[in-house]
Amino acid sequence: MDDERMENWIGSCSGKREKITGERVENWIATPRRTPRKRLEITSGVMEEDRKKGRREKKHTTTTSAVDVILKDVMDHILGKLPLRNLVRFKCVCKAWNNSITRIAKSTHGPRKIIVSPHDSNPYTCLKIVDIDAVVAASSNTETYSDSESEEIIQEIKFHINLPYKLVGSCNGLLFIEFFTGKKGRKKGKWNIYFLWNPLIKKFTLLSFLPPSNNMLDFRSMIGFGHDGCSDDYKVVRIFAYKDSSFEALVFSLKTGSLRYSKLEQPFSNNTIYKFLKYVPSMGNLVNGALYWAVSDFDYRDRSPNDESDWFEDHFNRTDRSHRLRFRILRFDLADEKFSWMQAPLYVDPQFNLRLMVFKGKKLCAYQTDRVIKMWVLEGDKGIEKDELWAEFMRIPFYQGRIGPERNFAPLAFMRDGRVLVCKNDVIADCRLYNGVHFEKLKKGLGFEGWYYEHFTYEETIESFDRYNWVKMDDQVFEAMSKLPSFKNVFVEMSQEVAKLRAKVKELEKANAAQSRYALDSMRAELRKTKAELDLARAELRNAPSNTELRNAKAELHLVKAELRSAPSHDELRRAWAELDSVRDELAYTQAELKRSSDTQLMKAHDELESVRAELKRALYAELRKAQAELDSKSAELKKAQDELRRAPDTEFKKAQAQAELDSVRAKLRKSQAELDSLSAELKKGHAELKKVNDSDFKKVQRELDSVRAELKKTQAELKKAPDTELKRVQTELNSVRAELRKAQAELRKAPDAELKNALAELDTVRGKLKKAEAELKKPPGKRELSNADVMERVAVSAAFVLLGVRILTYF
Amino acid sequence: MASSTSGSSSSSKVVKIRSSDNENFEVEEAAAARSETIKKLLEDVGDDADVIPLPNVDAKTLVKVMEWCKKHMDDVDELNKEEMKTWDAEFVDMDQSCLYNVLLAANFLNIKELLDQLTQKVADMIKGKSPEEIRATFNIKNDFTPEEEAEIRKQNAWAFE
Repeated sequence: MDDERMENWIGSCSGKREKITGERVENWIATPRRTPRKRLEITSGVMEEDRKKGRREKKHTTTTSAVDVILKDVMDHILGKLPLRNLVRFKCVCKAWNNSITRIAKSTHGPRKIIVSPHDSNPYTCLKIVDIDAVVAASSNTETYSDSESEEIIQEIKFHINLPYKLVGSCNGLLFIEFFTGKKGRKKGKWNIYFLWNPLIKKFTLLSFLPPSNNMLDFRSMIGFGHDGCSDDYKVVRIFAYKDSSFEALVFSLKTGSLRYSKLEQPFSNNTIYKFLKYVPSMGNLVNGALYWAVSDFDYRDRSPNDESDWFEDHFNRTDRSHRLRFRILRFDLADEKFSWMQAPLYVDPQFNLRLMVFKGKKLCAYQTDRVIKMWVLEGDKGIEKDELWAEFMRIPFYQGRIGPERNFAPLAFMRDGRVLVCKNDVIADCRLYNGVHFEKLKKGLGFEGWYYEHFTYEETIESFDRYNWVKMDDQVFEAMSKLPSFKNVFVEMSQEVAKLRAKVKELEKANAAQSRYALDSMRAELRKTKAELDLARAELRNAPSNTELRNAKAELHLVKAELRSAPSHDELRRAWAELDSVRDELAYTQAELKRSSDTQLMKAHDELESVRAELKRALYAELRKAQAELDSKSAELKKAQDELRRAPDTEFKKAQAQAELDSVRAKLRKSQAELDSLSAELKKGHAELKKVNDSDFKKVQRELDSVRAELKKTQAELKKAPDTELKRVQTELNSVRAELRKAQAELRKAPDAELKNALAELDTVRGKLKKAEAELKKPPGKRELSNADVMERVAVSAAFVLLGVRILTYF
Repeated sequence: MASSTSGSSSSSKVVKIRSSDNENFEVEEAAAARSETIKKLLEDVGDDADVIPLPNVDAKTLVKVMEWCKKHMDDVDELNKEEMKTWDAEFVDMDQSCLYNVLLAANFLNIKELLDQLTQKVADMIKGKSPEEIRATFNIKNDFTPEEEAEIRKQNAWAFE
């Protein structure tokens, strides 16, 4: 390439483009328009965009490299046409290319290829990766490809590992390979090794073992591998048909590293899947996010040589419909991880096995090789049980019309132009293209041999598994492997590496053993010590003063309670109460008596008084009446004297006489008046005396009563005071005891908690130490952590590899 | 089906196009319409189209592009497929500056099939080259530090074997 010229070209391009964008827009605008407005709007939109682009470019052209000038999308277009290997190599051209290529490489796939793997795996047979379009093109172009091209077109891969293997799945450029570890390379190993391998980027990943959940039973298995776009996860399915007719699926997710077992329903009444799987390929076909396996309840090869019954006849005579009940297709949806059973196509022939393959990468194809190859395509991709689901799309007759060996013809690939590549199993070179009318033999075969083979479509990708954490499992080994220049040496070196690693591990383990033993011992001693400490702490905790205090307080409390229960206070109180009651009774009685006695005395006094009064009255009245009567008689004498006087001639004598007589009457009256007065005085005196007598008596009684009352009050007060104080004292005592109790409890609670916490914390630290110690003990000498399981697995794998390494060595 | 020789029927209308260096060309509409860009322009401006200016394509390039368009004007039947293939192979076999000019023109004129063929040609040309050769070819400055480049090479070691 002439650099100067190139630069000129680029320069001219860039200059031109800048100028043009402006001009173009102007020209466009200048162009007369008679078109509808709508269209104009669209174009003006386009122009607007162009204009913007132009401006942006103008700004940056001074600094951008030539790549930006050869429009980015043109460059992307060119890059997208490069083979992946070249594309990735150009990542280091510049940063812009690195970005573009990272993006392009993710979605770019290499040419469509077919991988052919022998069914009967022999450790040294090889896998072939065939660029099928190139083979067909080369064959029809009449020009044969060169050897170097040939290597590109048919890539042979040999695993230099002394284990039989089989390709069991392919998806997104990853190949899923199973190495058989069973006795004498028998397939149904419980501990078969599974590899994921990207042949383009030469990255390997060892998957976990996929063992059956039931280790005791004999089993046969089917396997499948695919990518679940929903969760961006790769999943592996292994289906076990046990001898006891149980049927089980194991789903392994690469993203989470989880193994999930689930029971499956048997589609047939007899345990025929187990028998069926003896010969029949058992790989799942990946179509649109689902895996498919075909199973049958018979295998014609299983028929014993002595079986003379008209086994075929019997089946031929049945209606066609019933035959397909003998076939079932198991579907596994990678996204929701659900299994379902599907009907086989109508009119399948019960004599021949129904096989599945992928039709043009999009649909599931079922075929049977009979006198012709019958092919059906599954139209829906859901497990709906409908007859219309399957459409027969092609029958390939055999060119020679013979039945015999042609049976081993099978479709290998569907070409883009609609032709079908049909290959014969046992003849290496015999591959033919069938275009619906006639066959065209490929001039060069695909170069595989053997009776049965598996084939998968494959497209190169740069898919690696770095985003899955679990892959780190054996990073060192795999890194070492992927760094190895040629694949041929990978396994040799790997086995050596493994042996070396193993020796190293052993050595380190040995070296570390003593150390670790010592460490272990010291840890143990420490542990013991801490345990003893812990025990001590516990004992202390148990005997903690707080506890004893509590116990004492409790005892005291009990005592107090007992005392309280048997306390004299109660009896005393009761007695006091009784006394009080009796006193009260006495008081009442005294009061009553007092009342009664005072009443009677009073009454008696009263009565006496009354009688005295009555006598006095009577006497007085009598005297009064006597005095009245005397007075009356005197008055009458006076009247008579007055009259006599009046009648007598007013003589002085008479007057004197009358006067004398009147004076004497007056004196007599005066005398009786005095007498009356004295009587009255006497009465008064009697009255006073009576009164005196009465009052003094009453007062005395009253006084006595009062004193009794006072006494009563005093006794009552005393009585009241006495039990109250006792009761109060008891109560206060009780309260104080309670308070003490509470205090003690609180202390107790507080104290043991803190102590207990301390003890627990100590316990935890002790445990932590213990754990750490154990972890340290477990840690291998190297950087990596090696758990027991890892060690086991590693030893298992490395044992296998060492074994094979030894074999390889002997082989070489 | 008629071959791509000049207009034999009434449908072979002629459109006028002008290159960046002001050369006018008359091309059959069917051939010119292989370019989505021209097709759209024709739809926009209608029948009484003046000369359509193609300001980023020079006459020499335009001749090449139109040669291809004429050849691919009609659908190719099965028998001519092989012949067409050979013709295409010969067509893209041009000197590099011409190739890039036609490539850019094909991109501008939006001729998908031609663009495909040309990008494939470029891809085939650069396929076997080393990154250094690529930088030289496209005059790209390596903006990686040596460490960065080494890291990329290390990460993708498989591609450098």
